[in-house]
Amino acid sequence: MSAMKEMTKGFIKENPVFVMALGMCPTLAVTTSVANAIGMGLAATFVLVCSNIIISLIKNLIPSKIRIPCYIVVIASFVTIVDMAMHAYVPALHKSLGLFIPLIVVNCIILGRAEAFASKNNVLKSMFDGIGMGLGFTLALVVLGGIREVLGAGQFLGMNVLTEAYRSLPMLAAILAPGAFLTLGLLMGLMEIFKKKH
Amino acid sequence: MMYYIKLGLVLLVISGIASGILAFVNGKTEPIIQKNAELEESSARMEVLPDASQFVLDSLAVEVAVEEDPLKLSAGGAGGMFYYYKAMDAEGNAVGYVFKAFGKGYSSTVQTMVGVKLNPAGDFEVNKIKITYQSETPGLGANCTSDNFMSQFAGQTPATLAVDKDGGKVTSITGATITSRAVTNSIKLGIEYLKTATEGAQS
Repeated sequence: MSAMKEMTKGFIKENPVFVMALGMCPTLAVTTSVANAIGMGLAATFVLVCSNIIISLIKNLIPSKIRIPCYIVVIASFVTIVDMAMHAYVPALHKSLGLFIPLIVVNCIILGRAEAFASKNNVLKSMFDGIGMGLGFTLALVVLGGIREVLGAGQFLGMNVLTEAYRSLPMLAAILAPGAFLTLGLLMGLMEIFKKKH
Repeated sequence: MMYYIKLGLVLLVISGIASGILAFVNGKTEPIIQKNAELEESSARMEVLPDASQFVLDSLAVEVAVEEDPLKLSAGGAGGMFYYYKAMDAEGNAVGYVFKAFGKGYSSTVQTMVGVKLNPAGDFEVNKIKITYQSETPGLGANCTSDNFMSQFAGQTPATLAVDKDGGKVTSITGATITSRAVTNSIKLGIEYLKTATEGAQS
């Protein structure tokens, strides 16, 4: 049952974005639409799970002095695999995520989990930690992307949800960079209120 | 001393394994990526000139200074060449030309596939355009891919190809004059090159 706990802690209690404030760069940059958020979240989840498993497997073989470069090599390899696979099989998504896929390498959630969790726990636990953290990250991106897409374009997942009149003159700021900061800040604040009440 | 050599060796082994796996994946995906890119190009060509069924690549050497190179002709090793396609229908009759225009926008180089045909007056006329690549500001310049913007190019001749602020007939996107101008002017310049290229062939 502890494996289950390792997984669910990433959703709310230790949510990488809202609680630990990790991986802010991709969070702010790709959440202009829900589709981007899902793509980025799942790509990061895949990398996180794979790198957590591998690092947990080889943690005893790596001298502690060079553990960070080793982690980075493992993570970078998986990111490159994701990049090439997406480019080949889902070119449309690859086009819109563009630069952010290579940037998963420096997404501190992944290195953070490798260092803080996978290097100290067994393979199974590390895998579930990766899944949980990855889905928590995806969840956070989708919430942010959803709010920004609805406010900034009147759409959700590319479907029109608000009236024509609103869509012709939407709240553009929501989809531009300032909207990312404002929405993230407000959501983090809400999480704090929520946590204090419980 | 031995300890440091061991550190290096461990890193070497890990990097070696990683690059081996990457080489394998790259070998698998590279052909698919290339095929996708070609497919995308050819379907864009068909879309802007639906009458045509075959395209023949041709080129024209253009003298342009690198810094004044709005069509990015010198990029990608092309060395001042303007590439265009002669489009023909199934019987081999010429129906028009297709070329790719590159315009420096606000935050990216907007690439546009342009289909051109000769109108009865003997002038080049835009048949249809399709923005194939852009990374302009979301919600502003990125709207250049909307049908509203792209469809108004149909039937335009070089004489009318300019954004409304410059006295032309292209209605620019609200808040994105730079992007609109980049697309419009790159198409216009492309048609001018095309004119030179075809006149050279005729005389």
